[in-house]
Amino acid sequence: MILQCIMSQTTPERILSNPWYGKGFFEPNQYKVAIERCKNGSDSCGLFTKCIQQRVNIERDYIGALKKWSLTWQKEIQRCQEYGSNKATWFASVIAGEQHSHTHSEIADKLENVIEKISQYQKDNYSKSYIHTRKVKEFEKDFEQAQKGWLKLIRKLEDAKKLSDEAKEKLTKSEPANRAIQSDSGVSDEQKRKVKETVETLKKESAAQESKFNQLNEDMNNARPEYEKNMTTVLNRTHEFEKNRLEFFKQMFQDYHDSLFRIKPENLEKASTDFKKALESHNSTKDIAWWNSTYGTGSSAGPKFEGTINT
Amino acid sequence: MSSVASVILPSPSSSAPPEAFAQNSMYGKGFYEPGQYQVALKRCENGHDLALHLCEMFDERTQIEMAYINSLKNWSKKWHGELVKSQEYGTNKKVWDQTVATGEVMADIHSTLASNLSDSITPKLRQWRKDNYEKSLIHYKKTKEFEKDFDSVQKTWIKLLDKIQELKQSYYQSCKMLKHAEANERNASDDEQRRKLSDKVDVAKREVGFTRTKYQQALKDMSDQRPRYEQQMSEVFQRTQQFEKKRLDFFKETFDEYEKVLDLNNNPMLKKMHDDYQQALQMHDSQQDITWWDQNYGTQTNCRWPEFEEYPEEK
Repeated sequence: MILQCIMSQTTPERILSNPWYGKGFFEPNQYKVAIERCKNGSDSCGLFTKCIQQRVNIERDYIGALKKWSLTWQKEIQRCQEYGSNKATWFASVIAGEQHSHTHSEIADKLENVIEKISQYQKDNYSKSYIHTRKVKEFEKDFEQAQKGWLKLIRKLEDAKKLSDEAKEKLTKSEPANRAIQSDSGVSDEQKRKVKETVETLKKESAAQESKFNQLNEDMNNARPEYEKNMTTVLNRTHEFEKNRLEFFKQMFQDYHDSLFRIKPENLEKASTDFKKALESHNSTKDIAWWNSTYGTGSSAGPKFEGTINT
Repeated sequence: MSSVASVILPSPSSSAPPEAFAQNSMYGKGFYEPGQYQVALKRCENGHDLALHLCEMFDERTQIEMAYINSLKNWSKKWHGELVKSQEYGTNKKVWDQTVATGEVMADIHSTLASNLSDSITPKLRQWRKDNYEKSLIHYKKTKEFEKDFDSVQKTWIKLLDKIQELKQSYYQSCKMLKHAEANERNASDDEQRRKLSDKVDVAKREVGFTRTKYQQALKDMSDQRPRYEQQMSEVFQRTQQFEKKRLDFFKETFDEYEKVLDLNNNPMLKKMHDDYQQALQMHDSQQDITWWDQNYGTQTNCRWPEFEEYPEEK
């Protein structure tokens, strides 16, 4: 809940304020950043639709106003005191003025087709059909699955570390007391023997715990490649999913361009060129790679174990 | 004696355009008839209103463009902001941003159209109106000038017409008198009376001859004066024609400029529009218009000239 609030204030590029940034992807629950991205994709589709719809509305308003203007003035010219070819020319000028609206109708219609496509894409990729569960839910499930075993290992390791540390602490605490007692002439041999035994037990305990810990650590290190592989596989599927979306968006931007500029007006040539340049710079592979290095497997890798206390 | 010229003509139906013959009350009259020159004066005045209309039309168009431009600019601004806040990233985001920027581009192109209209075309129209339609009290100076000139040319002519009417009345009066005298003569009771009345008939006959001659003479005078009268009226009329032609030429100039302003784009639809409009522009012919007008309202109209009207026989 809090994360959602934070996320609405930040964006993937605002790495300083982004709570997902600077974490290792393989750390527990960090995969959620990939899930988040998937969900954002759906929101983006919605945003894109809204954006273009508003544009279409502007065109329709313009068209309506032009048509009304044209009708009004056609009537006016017919009834006014003008005559002859001047009247005919005046009339033609009104018609010419209205012709503009036809171009804009064409634009509006084409833009509405783009909206259709985006809506369809959103439906196909982000909504639940009775055959498939939502893609996103799938990813989430698979991540969880891949991480389950790993989480168990981590907990085991953490518990073992705790026990090992506790044992060490006990041992450390006991030794000075032992030494003191051993060198105390006022203490009976029986006492001295008992204390020595306790220390021996503690030593054995500590060693056992440490050994357990080390074993678990080794197990974990052995399990790690497999774990990383599994996580990466799922992540790559989300990368594919996102790349797909980016490619689709690129296509939609192209369609948008064509809606406006296939009408090929002279003055719009430069604007078209600029836009084309921007389209050419569109690079979904690069985007994916950047994201991966910022939030994905390129980010600081898995748990590094920092040695135990007081070693 | 009431003068024909002081007959108040119905003011031209201001709602019927020149081409709507059936509804136009100025149509079908002879230009040289008294007061009919009003139609030329009205045309002069209309010229002002038409220029005003054209201005209004362009102003409204400018308003439409401004609304469109502002909507586009706002849309662009809004979505630039939305994108900054959004969860997009990378080149995809950049391209989306560029997409949004097209709103501004379109706005700029339409700004050109709007500013050409408001900075160039409509001021020219306003100035032209000011230059040609200086006002003096309620009427336009130019119109008043023409009116004065028409009036002064027609004044003498109207006097002639009045005289003709007068003499016609005299003639008819004397014819009537003759009829009476002849009737009396027929009804004379005795020869003595008959003789006296016969004298009276002779006098009446002489009077008829006398007034008839005068009537015919007046008609001849009119007929002699007619060419000069026509020429003088025509002169003034030509000046109104020139005035109107100037207006038509100016309108053509304005339409030419407007066409250039619209020619922002080169797409096939707009190209067709452009071509059609070009064609229409080429058909613009102010001389033809002037001539047509002259044929229907001017010197080429069928005039009714005063002719000798015989005294109607009693049945």
